[in-house]
Amino acid sequence: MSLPAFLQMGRFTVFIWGAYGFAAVVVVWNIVQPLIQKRKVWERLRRNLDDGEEEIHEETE
Amino acid sequence: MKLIHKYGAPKRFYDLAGSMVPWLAALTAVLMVVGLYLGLYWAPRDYQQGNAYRIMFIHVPNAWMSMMAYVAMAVLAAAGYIWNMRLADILAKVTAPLGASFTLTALVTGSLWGKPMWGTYWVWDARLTSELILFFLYVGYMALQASIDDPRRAAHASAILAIVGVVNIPIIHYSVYWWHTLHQPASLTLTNQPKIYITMLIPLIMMSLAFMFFYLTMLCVRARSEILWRERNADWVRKLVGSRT
Amino acid sequence: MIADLLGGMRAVFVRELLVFWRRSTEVMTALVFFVIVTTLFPLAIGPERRELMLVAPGVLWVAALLATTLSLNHLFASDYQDGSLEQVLMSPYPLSAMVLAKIAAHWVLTGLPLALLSPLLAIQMALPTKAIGTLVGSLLLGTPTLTLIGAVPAALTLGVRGGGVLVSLLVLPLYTPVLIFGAEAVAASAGQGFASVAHLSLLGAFLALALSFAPWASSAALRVSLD
Repeated sequence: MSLPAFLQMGRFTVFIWGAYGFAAVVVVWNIVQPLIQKRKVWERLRRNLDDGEEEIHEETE
Repeated sequence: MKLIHKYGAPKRFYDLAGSMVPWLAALTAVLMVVGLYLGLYWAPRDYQQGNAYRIMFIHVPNAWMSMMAYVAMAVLAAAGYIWNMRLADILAKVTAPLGASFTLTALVTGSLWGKPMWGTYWVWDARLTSELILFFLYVGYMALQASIDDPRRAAHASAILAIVGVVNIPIIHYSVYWWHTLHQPASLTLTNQPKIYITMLIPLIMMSLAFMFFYLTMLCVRARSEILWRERNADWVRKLVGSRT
Repeated sequence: MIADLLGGMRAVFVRELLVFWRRSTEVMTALVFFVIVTTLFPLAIGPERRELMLVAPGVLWVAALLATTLSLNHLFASDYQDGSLEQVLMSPYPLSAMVLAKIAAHWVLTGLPLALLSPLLAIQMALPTKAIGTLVGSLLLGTPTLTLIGAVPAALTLGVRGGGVLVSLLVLPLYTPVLIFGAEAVAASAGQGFASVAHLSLLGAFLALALSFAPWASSAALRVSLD
């Protein structure tokens, strides 16, 4: 089966690819967001270490 | 009990999760690719629904995961509340956004499936309705977590909410099903699928496993950041950060 | 021992009644809200009696549910602010019993008048006369359940920023079963479905469940909030 034939899902193409597309967006967001969060936490921790021993009262977000 | 405390120590989990993330991620990717191949290409089209039934391969796993994640969240939160396990508190907290996104995906794909099936995007179908209420429960949990600053109080308060929620979920579920059967002919539901064939079942199981391992992977990633931040004044975190600058 | 406990509960109950009574404007707010919301519906839908009758069970029940939600903010908040809640926490009686007495007093001043007022609004909404008894009955069984369930989020959000809105967000999804069976009971006896006895007995079962779980859960929640 050729690619165009595969992409053409008959009458319901829009809905099928729409559903898969939405799921893909959510999955990607679920991967990207924690990685950004991770980087933020590391940045804060590094700054924290540079600032010395004092406690910080910031929020995670 | 002592054993759980020992292995439940945030530092141990941080290391363990760190070594597991690549494996879990790889497994997720393989399952996802195989599942998508089987679901979109290998499985033949349905004689009644055409290709539209292929939406099932993401709708159903997400719906399953949305409920499983809520139960997992409630169990973890209860463990954190009863035995004061900080790790369980953290895992419960990071489960919520994942569970909410499964619920959202189930809702959106369900309504995209509904358009070709029922001719409209939203039908007050029993499954969609209880997914919607589940979504509200997740949103409430996250809102409560976000509005309390003290992590211990936030964990305990939201634990009580999660437990009350999990006791209520079966009641809500059956009320909604009952309400639905009373008001609509039963033939219009997503649950009343034509017979599920083995060619549908295999991709479905693959995709379900894929989403489950996706949950576990992201759980580890999220929990690691949360642990680092909460333990920011502990010696081991300082050492770890110091060694990576 | 048990007589002692009952005495303590009665003391709390009577005290709460008196305190709530003195702040009667707050008590009235929920009731007035119930009346205004149900009055707004005919204005939005139109005065056609047939249409009103069709939506009446749902409208009356949703209005009652929202009014109860609105009143939840007064359940613990003022006791929390003036510190008397901490005294209750230290009293020799089990906290859950005290909480139950408090909830009971709160219901007597909000849910009960609401149920008693509902026939008037039912006439306004063109509900058939034969269904009015069921409406009052379903509200008498349903509103205490709503107050009991709502006590948990009310206790959890004490002293939390944005507490008022948060309570409604937390509580409304938990209210769905009561709403479904309450409205269905009224609709059934208005002649749109099965007999209403089954729905009413399910509402009774919900009440029994809430009675056995909610005081315990909300006292745990109070302990967390006052920790």
